[in-house]
Amino acid sequence: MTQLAGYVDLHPDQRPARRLRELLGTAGSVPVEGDGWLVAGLPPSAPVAGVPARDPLPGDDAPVPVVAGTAQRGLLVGRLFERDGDLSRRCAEPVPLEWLAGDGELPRRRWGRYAGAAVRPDGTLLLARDPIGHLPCFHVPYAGGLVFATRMALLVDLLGERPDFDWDRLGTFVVQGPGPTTRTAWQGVSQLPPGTLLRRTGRETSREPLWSAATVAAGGGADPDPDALRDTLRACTRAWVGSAPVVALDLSGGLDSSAVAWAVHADLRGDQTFQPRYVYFPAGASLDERPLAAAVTERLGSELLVVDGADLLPLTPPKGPLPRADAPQLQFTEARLNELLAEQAGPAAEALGGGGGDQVFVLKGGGDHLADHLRRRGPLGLVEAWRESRHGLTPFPQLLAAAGRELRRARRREPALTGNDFDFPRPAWLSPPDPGTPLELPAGAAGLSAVRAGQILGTAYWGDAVDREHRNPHRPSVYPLLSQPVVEFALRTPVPALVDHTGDRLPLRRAVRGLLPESATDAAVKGSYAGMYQLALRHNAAVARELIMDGRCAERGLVDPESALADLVATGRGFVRGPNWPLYNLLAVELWCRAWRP
Amino acid sequence: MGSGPLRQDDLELDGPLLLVECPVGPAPARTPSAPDPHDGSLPASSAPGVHWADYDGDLIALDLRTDRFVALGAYASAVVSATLGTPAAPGPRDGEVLAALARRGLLTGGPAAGPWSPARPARPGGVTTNAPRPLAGVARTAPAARPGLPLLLAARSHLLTCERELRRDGLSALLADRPAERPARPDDLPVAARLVRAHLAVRRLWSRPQHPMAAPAALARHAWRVGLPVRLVVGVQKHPLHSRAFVELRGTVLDDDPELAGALAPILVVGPEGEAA
Repeated sequence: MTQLAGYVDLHPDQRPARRLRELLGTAGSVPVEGDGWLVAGLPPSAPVAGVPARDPLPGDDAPVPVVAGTAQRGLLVGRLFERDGDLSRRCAEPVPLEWLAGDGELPRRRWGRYAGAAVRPDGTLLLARDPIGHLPCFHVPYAGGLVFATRMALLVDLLGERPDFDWDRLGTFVVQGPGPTTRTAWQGVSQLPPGTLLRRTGRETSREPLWSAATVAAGGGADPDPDALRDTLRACTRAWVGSAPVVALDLSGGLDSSAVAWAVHADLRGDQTFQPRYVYFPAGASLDERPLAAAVTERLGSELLVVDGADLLPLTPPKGPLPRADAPQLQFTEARLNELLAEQAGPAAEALGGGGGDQVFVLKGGGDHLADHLRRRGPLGLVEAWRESRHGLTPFPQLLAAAGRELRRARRREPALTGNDFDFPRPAWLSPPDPGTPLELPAGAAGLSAVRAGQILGTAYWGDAVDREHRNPHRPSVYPLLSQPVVEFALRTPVPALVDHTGDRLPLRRAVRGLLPESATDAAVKGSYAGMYQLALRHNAAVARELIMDGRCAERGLVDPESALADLVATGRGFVRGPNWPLYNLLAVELWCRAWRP
Repeated sequence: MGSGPLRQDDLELDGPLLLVECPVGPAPARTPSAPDPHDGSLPASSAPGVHWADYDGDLIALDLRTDRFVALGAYASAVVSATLGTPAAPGPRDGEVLAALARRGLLTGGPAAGPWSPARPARPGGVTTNAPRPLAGVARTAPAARPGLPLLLAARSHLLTCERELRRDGLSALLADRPAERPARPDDLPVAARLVRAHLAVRRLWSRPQHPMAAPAALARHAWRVGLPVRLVVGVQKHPLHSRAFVELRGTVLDDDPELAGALAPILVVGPEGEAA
C-alpha cells in the first residue's frame, strides 16, 4: 500500500531528505514540498530497505491531497470514505487543510484508515492519525527537524541507521501487549496515538485529540436501533470490500466474525468471491468451532474453507522471511499460517476479520455494568443485579458490592482507568518489577463509568493490535467492527443497552438475530485459544526454548531464562487456566528482534 | 483429546521426570502425614489417596494428601503406565523416575490394593467451554420448581459445612461422608431438579468466597441425605488442564453442562458404591 513519509526543518543535503528524494524517483510517487519540508506518498514499488518492493495492485490507495485554497499543503494516505450520506462512498477529493485541527472536521467528514501530514503556511507541521488507528504514524527528531513515516522500516531507511531497541517498552509489552502509547519499540521514536493530531511549530511539539471517544459517548443516550446498526455495519463492510475480487474472512462462527460474514454476503457482487475460512487445530473441543462456522456459511449459502492447522501451529517456522513489522505483535508467532492464508487468498484479496467486537460492543466482566443500570433506573437497577445472579456464577451480594464500589469511585471522582488496567500479571521471570509503564489513556476516558472507560481503552488497544502485514502482506487486514461509524454507534449506546443479564454485545446480537443461526447470535460462551497455544508449545518446544534461552531479552537481563523455561514447560504441559499471554508476548518479541536483525 | 502424538522430546526439557503441579483449591489447613518412605526397592503401586487419570496417554494424578493435581510428562507417564498397569507389557522401566515419584508420594513400594485402572474420558476431546454452566444441568428441566424453606435451609447448611470441611481437610473431607444411609429413591430427576434449584438459590445469596468443590459437594451430600443415589465426580482434562466437580444421577449431570459426563476423565468419584478411580 502507499506509505506516507516526510520531514520538516531539514536541509536537503541531510540524510533523511536525500534518501526520501531518492525514493521519490519511484514511478507513482507523490511529493508535496515547501521550504525545508517535504511530504511524500510512496507506492509499494518504492525500494525501501528491508521491505519487499512490489508492483502496485488494484485496490491500492492513492494519496489524497490536503489543500489550502489551490495550494497543496500535504497528503493523507490510506482509504477515506464519506461520513454524510453513503458511508460506503470512497472519497479521493482533496481535504481542506482546516479539517486538520484539534477536535476537527476530518473525522466528522471522513472515516476510514488514514494517516496524514500537512504544513500550514506559517510552517506549522500537522500530523494526523485516524480515530481507530488503522494506520500508524511514527516520528523522530532529527538534527533540529522532524522525520515521520507510516512504516517503521521506511523511517529506519530514511534515518540510515536503526535506532536501539527500547528495552523498557519491550518489557512492558510483554505484560501489556499492544496498547495506546506514544512509545515504540525503538529508542527516540514516537508514534501518534489513534485519533490524535500532532502540532509542531518551530521546535515546540504538542498533541491534541483529533477525535474523542469520550465526546462521542457523551452525545449518546438513546437506545440502539438494530436496523440502523445493520445498515451501518453493512455500509462500512461494503466500503472496505470495495471491488476486491476475493474477500477472505477468518470465520470462527462466533458473534463478531459471523456478523461480518453476514455483512459481506449481503452486498457481495457477482464478480466477487467470498472465502470464509476456518483454521482447524486438533487441540480439543474448546477450540473446535467448525460446526459453528459451518452453520453460519450454510445459512448464508456460502462454502466454508476448512484449513487444517496441524502443521501451521504458532511458532512453526515460515518458509519466507519474517516481516520487519512496526512492533512485536503476537501475529509473528503465526507466521507460517499467515503465509499459507495469504497465498490462498491471493494478493488482490481483502482479508477481513471480526476483531474488535468484544471491545467495541463490550464483553461482560464483573459487576461494573450494574452500576450503569443503577444510574439509569435508580433502585430498579437492583432487579438487574438480581437477574444477573440467577446464572449461579456470581452471588447477588458480590454483584452489589461490585456495583457499589463503582458508584463510590465515580462519586469520589476517582479515575476509572490507571493505564495498567489490562496488564497481565507480571511473570516472575520478567524484570524490572511492577508496575510497568502505564499506557497513555484516551482523552476523557478515565472520567467515565468503568464499563465505558474500558470500552474506549479496549478499542484504543486495536490501534496497535490491528494486523497491517501478517494475514495479507499487501495491505492491512480489515476489521469492519472497528469502522469509525460502527464504533461511534456503540459509543453512543447506553451501557445498559450494551450489557445486561441476558448477555453482552447486545446491539450486535439484536442486529443480526434472525439473519444468522442462533449458535452465532445467542451463544453464551466463547471458545478458548489456550489449547492451540499449548499445543504449539509442545509441538514447537525446541523453537520456543531457543527463542528464550538464546534470546535478546535474556541477553539484556530482561528475562531470567531458566524461570521462563520453567514457565514454558508448565504452560505447555497443562495447568494454565487460560492463554499465558506474557510468555507468548515474549516469544513474539524475540521473533520480532530476529526479523530486525541486521 | 486429539492433540497429536507427543514425542518424548516435546517438552522433556529438564530431563525424563516432569511433574507440574496445581492445587485443587485453597491449601487445606490440615495435611495428612506423608506416606512411609519406601524400603529402597522399586515402587510398584500407587500410594494411598492418589487417584489417576489417563488423558491421551498422559497421566494426571490427584493427590488427596496434598490436595494437588500432578501432571506427569510423556515419558514419566509411560514409565508409570508400564509399571503399574500391566507389568508384563513392554514399556520403559526407569528406576530413577519411579523413585522420584515415590519421593513425591505418588508411588509406594507396598502391595497394590487392587488392579491399577486410571480413569479415562468416555468421549476424548475435552469440554467446549471452561465456564461452569449451572443452569444447563437438570435445573433447566424444572424452571418453575420452587424449593420450600426447609430445603433452602438444608442446602445452606450443607454448603456451609462443605465449605468449612474442604478448607480444613481438602478433598479428603468428601470421602469421610458416606452417602445414602436411607433407602435409595429411584432415579427421581424432579426431586434432583428441586434440590439443584434450592442450592442455586442459596448460592445466589451467599457472598462468601467458595472452595471450587464446595457447591457440588454440598449438593451431593444433600442428595444422599434425601436418598438419591447421586455420584460426586471430579473430572479432569489435559491440554489445557481443566478440572470440574459435578454431580450426576445415573449419567445425567445435575448441576453443570451435560457434556461433562463424557468429556472429562472422572479422576475421583464418590457415590453409593464408595470411592472410585
